[in-house]
Amino acid sequence: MLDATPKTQFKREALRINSCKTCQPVGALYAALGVHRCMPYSHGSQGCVAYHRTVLTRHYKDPMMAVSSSFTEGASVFGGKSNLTTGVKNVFDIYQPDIIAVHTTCLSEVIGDDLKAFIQDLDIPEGKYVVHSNTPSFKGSHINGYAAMMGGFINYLSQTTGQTNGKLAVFPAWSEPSDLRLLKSYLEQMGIAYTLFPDQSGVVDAPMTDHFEYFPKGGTTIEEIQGLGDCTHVLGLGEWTVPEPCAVLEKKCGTKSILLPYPIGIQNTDRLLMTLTDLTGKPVPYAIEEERGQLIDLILDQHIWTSQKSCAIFGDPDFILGVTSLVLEMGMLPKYVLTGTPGHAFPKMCQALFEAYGVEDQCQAFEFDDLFDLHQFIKNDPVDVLIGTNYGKQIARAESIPFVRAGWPVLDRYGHYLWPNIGYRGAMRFVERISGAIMDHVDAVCPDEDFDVVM
Amino acid sequence: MLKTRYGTDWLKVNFIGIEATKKSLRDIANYFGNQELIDQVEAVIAEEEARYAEDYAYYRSKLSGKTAGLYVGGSRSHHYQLLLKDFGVSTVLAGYEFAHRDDYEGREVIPSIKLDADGKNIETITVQPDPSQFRTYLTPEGAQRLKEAHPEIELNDYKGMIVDMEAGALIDDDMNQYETEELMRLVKPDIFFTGIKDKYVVQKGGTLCRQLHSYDYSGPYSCFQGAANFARDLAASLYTPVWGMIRVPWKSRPAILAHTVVGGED
Repeated sequence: MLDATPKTQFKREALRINSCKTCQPVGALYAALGVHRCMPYSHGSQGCVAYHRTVLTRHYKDPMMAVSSSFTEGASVFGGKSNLTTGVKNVFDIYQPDIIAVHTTCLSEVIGDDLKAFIQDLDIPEGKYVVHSNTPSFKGSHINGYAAMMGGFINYLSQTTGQTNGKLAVFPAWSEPSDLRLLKSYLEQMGIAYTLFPDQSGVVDAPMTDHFEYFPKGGTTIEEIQGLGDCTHVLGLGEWTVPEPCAVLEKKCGTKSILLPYPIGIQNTDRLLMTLTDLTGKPVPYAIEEERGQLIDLILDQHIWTSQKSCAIFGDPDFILGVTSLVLEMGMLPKYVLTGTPGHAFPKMCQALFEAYGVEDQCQAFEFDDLFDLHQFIKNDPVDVLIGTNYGKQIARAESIPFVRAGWPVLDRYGHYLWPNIGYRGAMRFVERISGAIMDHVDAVCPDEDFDVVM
Repeated sequence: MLKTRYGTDWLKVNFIGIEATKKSLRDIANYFGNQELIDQVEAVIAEEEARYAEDYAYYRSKLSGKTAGLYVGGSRSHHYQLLLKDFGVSTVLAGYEFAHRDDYEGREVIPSIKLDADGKNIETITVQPDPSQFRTYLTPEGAQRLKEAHPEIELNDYKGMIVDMEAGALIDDDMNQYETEELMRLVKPDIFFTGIKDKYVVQKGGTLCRQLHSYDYSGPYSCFQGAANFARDLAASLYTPVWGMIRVPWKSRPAILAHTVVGGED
């Protein structure tokens, strides 16, 4: 399929081919799904939210409920205020959410709709809320949209009463529901009172019952978001994604924030657990320590298949920074680390990791880049494994490289959203899948005399 | 026995190790004394050594100064010492599971080996020359010339493993589990080579253990390319960063810090 990709690279400025990101509203919609009884609301034409719902549904294989202002030519010319006013009324009347989270789109941003003013003029039912964030698709990526929507909720809802509620606020970068479940299990095993925001677990991975619910059990509650200003600290997990919502909360309520890398890999998870102990005085229980030991044991057992192997990693900044950290711990060489999300901080963060392992001469990091470039890098200097979203499968096939699906989106597999990436358990799963992909490849291409059950 | 019955000379050869491979190839060529073969062997050695020179130098820089223990059978505990030495790794502990005194001490001790209970159970085979098929490649004068021109060739002889070991290195024959663990504690090698049943015992104790039966599913390790493969695998194993992460970090901190201490990153 990608057999025609040329080896020779040329300088491109305006053109992106096979992009490695999607637009801000997708992230805003996903963040809003992490709030209990919230209806995400796309202020734009229907095509936008149709795509966002489609891609999210295809990844999670669960209903992704969201609504639209349904712009037509009229709204595009005269502004979307009446669409929003009618839309919000209809949604509260028909679907009865507790809160509506509006995000903008290219169209409503370009015509200059003032969402703050529109919402101030709304007649919102008692006890219900409408919040918004500005998420123009032509800037940033879905990751920026996710952070912007978090900021939107905090701006509208969070307060400080002057009295601490004794809880630790935790802001994760874009996370799979499985990862949020694991994070909560760590906090609960340590006996820490917390507010996890947002929390899509129980929403996008809801169990099969005999009836469909618009608003499943999961999600951070409005009360919890309101209480963020009274939390003792906010722990941001993802140095690329969550500084913005942390700063919004700190500015509004004075809540001190601590930023950590997204906890994929041994050392990132170590740091998370030790920081939790530092903040709360609660020790790490043996059950978690045992998982850590099992992970180290696994990495040593299989290192003969992964040590010194090279890989290319692509996807969202915080997620792939974590994966990069893990593969370095495994003794692998992350030759190319690439994100489509723009931001100069990303290559710098990667560079620091490369330098910590003395591999800065052999590894490169790229921001605001695309998969056409990645394919060309690989064509010129191949790698042993490719790790990334489902959009790597064409490259893996064209170059016959073992491929490990990780990150978002993965549209072409089922069940991935049920197993963690973060923490020691998540790292075990990565290690199992990376060595498994390498060994599957050996089994597929080796001569008969090397084909063995003992490996 | 072949020598006694048929007159066939034998040479102990070893293609594990760069220097060992070179010596084996040269011994074979010199035995036959064929100039074309001798030249061919030199050409092969020069070509192969040049091909892997860079790899050898790189891995020597990574491995030099490390220590190893070996517990494998079939001559490997001896042969791999030579390969390890090529990369500056010294063997501090070695042993076989099923070896005899001459495997360790050389053939000169054979006459003094006392039969033990086990040995008595094995049938003694006495071999006589077979006049109908007895022939030697070298004439007595040829054998004498070879001995003078190439005193390094140990024709029809094996001097044993010990001569290649450094002073102070330990040998333990037929180690049991307890001895293996005690010796590991005592000599603390950086790498231990054995088989699959011992591998994880040693690894759990925090020492790298590579299999020399299955080569940990890698290899080949023989001759020139094999030496590079071996060094590559050994370096990859030794330098896997996770060795440095075995200790649980929150247990080695001086004390748990109070809430108020942390206000930022780390």
